[in-house]
Amino acid sequence: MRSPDVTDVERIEGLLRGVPPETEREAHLEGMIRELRTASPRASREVRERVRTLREPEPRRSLGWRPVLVVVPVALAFAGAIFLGGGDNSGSQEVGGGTAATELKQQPGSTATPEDAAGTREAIVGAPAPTLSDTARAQEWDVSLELAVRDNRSLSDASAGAIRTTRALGGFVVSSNVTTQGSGGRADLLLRIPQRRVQDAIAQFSELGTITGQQVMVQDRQADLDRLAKRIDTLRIQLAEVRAQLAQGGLSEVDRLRLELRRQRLQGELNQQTRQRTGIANEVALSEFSLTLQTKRAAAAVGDSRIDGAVGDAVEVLSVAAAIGLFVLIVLAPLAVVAALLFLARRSLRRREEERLLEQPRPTPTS
Amino acid sequence: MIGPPRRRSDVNRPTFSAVAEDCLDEVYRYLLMLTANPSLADDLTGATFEKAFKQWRRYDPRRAAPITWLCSIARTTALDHFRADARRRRREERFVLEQPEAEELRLDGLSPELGAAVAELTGAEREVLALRVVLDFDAESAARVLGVSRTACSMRLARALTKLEERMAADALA
Repeated sequence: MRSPDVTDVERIEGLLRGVPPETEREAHLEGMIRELRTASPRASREVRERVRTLREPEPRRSLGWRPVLVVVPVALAFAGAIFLGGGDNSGSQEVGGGTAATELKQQPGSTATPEDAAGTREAIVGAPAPTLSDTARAQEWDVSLELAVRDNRSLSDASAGAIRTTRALGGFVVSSNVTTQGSGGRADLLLRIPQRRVQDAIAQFSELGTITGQQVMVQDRQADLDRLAKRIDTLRIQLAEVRAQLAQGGLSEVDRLRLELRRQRLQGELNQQTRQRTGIANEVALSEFSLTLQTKRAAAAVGDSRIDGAVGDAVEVLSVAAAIGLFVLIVLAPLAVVAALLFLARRSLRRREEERLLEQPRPTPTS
Repeated sequence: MIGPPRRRSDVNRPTFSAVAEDCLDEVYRYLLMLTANPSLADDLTGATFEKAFKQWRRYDPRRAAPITWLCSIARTTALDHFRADARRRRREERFVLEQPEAEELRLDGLSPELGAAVAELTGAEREVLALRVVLDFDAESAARVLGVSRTACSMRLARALTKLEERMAADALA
């Protein structure tokens, strides 16, 4: 049998499309094609009845593979958010050793309008760590408040008002830095407010402008103080015992010297523990209050930088998702290659088997 | 008749019964050409539609015309039958059983010469003739059913027709 060349293939395709034959051979081929097409054997009545008995199947309800396009990115983003969220939490909470810290953050935007300011102030007064605000316990407060004011005149008034309020509450100003440039300005005040008046301070400072940011960190120091008090009591008892022994007569020089050295050591430790307790008590007694006032133009500039920060966070989430994806890819790639090779080999074998089956001129009829 | 190829944009989903009614004879013709055995083609046609009935929910009209989809199922059904038949024959050969005689290939409307020449082709050659000539599939749809490239499909068709032509010529000379 002669092999068909390219011309044959093209001409046969043409004949199938109805192009008129040009040679005698093509006319012969065209006649065969026509004859094969006009042959119209029909399925038997039995088969026709067999097919008609099949009822109409239920319509398809499956959504196919499309939900994967939504579910996978959402799952990746969620995983990334959890990953990043876990990292942030580790820095803001501390549990163990008898101390606990709570940090409350309020992002700008939600309270940026003056209309919302009053309600926000009420919320803030009640908001900071309600479970840790028990004044009977020693708590270290670290408050940061950012306020937006209308213009430089308001900035000056608000700064003066903040200083007045601080003094009225029994606190003092650690540092004050007021800067104005053109119509914009900013004041950074570092204040110390008695711990028992912190909530009053937040409420009064909140009235100086529109809140654009807030951070309240409360750390419970009661356990530290209790531990120190217990140790100081023990040291005092031991010291009293040593002093009583020293006061007794009849001690040898060596024993006296040993007791004296012990007394000095106990006294030194007592002094140290007492200093430490005083330090904590001072820290607890006066809360650190960081107050930032800025005109709205300056706040808008900061807002822009916060948008940049949000974009940065989004990029970070995406990069984490990409890293996870890359990791999965690296782990799964060899398996995928093996699976693909197995699939190709199986398909090739199957095709070869099919070709072999179809190479027979007449399949054996069923018996 | 629901003809081959057809627009991918045609997303109107026909009913199974309408498809079965329209494509039954075409599927039968395809299987008759593939098996060269009318009774076997009858059986396989019934089996094909039963299988299609079970898989109907998975059929997507945007991916293929109903006849293309049905011919793919028919091909798989026929190949499964050939495989089972080959295994059966191997078992029988072990017991030295004789092969049963093959039936005559009868294609209504074909001249006896052409019918005899078609019967001498291999299953693969008859299959491509069934798809491209009898059922008038375009090269792409036929290639999809056969699981080969479009070029391979065209080459196989040209080879089958050339062989058919040569058989006819040899019969004429005889």
